[in-house]
Amino acid sequence: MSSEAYTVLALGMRYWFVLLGAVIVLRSFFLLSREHRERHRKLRHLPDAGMIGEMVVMEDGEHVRRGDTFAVPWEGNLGKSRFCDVSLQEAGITGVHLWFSFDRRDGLVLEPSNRCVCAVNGKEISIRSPRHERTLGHGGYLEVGGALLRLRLFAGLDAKKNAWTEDRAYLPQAPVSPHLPDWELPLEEDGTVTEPKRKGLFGLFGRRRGHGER
Amino acid sequence: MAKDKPEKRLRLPGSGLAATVMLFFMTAFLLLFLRDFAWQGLALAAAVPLGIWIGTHVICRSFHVDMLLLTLTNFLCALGILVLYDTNKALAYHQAMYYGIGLAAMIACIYLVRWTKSVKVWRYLTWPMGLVSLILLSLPLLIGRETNGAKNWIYLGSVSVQPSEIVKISLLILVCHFMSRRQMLPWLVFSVGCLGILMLQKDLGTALLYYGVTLMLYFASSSNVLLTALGLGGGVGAAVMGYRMFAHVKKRVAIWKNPFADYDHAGYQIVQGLMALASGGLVGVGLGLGSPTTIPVYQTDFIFAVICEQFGLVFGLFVLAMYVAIIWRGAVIARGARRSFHGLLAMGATLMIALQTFVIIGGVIKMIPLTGVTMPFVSSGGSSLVSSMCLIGLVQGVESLNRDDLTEDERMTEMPQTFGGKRGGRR
Repeated sequence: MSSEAYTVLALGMRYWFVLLGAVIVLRSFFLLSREHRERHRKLRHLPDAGMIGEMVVMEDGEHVRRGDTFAVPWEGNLGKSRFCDVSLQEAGITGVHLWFSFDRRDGLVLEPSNRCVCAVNGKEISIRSPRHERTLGHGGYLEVGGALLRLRLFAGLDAKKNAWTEDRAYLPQAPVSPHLPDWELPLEEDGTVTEPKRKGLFGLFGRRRGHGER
Repeated sequence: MAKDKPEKRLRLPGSGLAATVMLFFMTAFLLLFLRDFAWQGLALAAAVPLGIWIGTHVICRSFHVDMLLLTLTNFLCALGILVLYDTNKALAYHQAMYYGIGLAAMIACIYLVRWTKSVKVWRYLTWPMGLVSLILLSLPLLIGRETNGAKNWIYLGSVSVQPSEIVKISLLILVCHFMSRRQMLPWLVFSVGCLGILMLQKDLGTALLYYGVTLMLYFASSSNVLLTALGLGGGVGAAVMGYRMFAHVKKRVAIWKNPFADYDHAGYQIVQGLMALASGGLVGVGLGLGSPTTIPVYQTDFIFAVICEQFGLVFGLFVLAMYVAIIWRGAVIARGARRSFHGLLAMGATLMIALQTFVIIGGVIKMIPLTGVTMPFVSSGGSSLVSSMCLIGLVQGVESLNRDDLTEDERMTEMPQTFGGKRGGRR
């Protein structure tokens, strides 16, 4: 092809390439926005997407009430700060009290921050505790500061191994019922319910109890 | 009972986009074929669209990754091959070869992220990786050759390799791993080591990239404004010190301020680049026309100026918009990650591409002083292309995990309500 003919052709094709470029860009942003909308629609039908369960407050506290629930993500932190994934405004809880991450095999593995005290199924733990002691299974109890929480994993995510503990009274005998407060609690003769005695964390975080006795 | 109809094969969203991209390159290479009737032009007019089709449809269906990201990446890679074919056919064939290697590297990175879904695996890999990376990065100082004022290449026979492009990936993985575990010292020591070696090599552009990405990742992982601001201040201080210590930095800043003062010597490259941008006008001078080879190092640093000269400033803006779309998508993928390691990995890879694009295009249009980094996916250079594809591979790996997690969520939502299902049997 002669250079003049090629020049004319190339000059004409400039607009074609600009047009195709515009189509590519517009389609890309259209796809971006469509996928964004579809994802939002999907997530609206999956309100628990990204969560592995919830922590349920077992006793009334200064700022929390029995039955309050906090969604627990796969990985996150728990503390007083409002930026925490599980934000608890209770006495004895620091800004970022502990970090947690979910392991399908073991359960919710906890990593307390330095000098932060907490207990799993009645046993005090720290960052130096063995992993199995820092692991919370389905139905396991977690004491942080003045709050007593119980972990409820979504069905399908129940850890194959329950959290290790010698005191099996803390473990539910049957699947954990969502109805509170009657989780596996022994009934008295008069039909009332007495909560199991709970050891406060060195008695440092004593607080008013709703019902039941120490 | 009536036979069940076979399931209709679903059309992938974004197939129209891929078809448009294929059409673009088919017509572009056919036009170049008509210029000199070289059979290679005709071959590329078939091969490049076919490569794009394989690169998008086949990989998307096999790995459940994001098609938009893949299509735009393929577009930019093919654009680089097109522009290089127009100016230097040998470079174009090399680039096409490295594009194939880059696709394989991207698939390897997708597998790597999926295989190491359990973040614990990285605990055993990071320390050896860090050591090997530091050794690799030091090699140019020992056996490298100085090129354009920086000693950052090693030559293995006829093949030249830039170790800093390879170490970019391991830096990202290491930093993200330790940040996700909230261990500050290891990634700090590694980053400072890398920066020190790069300063000795006088590869300040790559040092800027490493530093910028590490700082932004630190902020993303910790939200610690004070320490991030301190880090930023430290970086600015180091830049000022660099300006005072290195003569070539002073020269680059002087050229940036007024390239026309020394337009036929030190400022020649920037002046030619600016003239190429201007002479292209809005729609360009036409593919195969113009004089892109008058720009020194047009195939790497100033390829954006060549694109704007041939296709016009409007098309240049479209290319920028595609980078914005890639960065946006990468950020969305990072946000959707369930593990902090994966989120940081996707974010870090996206930030690396974003910062690199900003630095090179900013230098070409004289917004900031020119550095020696390449334009991701487009610039000539095997190491740069393969490492950019690896970054996209990491992002795609995280996206494939996100999709698996979402599918799992949908599956669990459909579980029997008697044991709770996803909503735990809330009645």
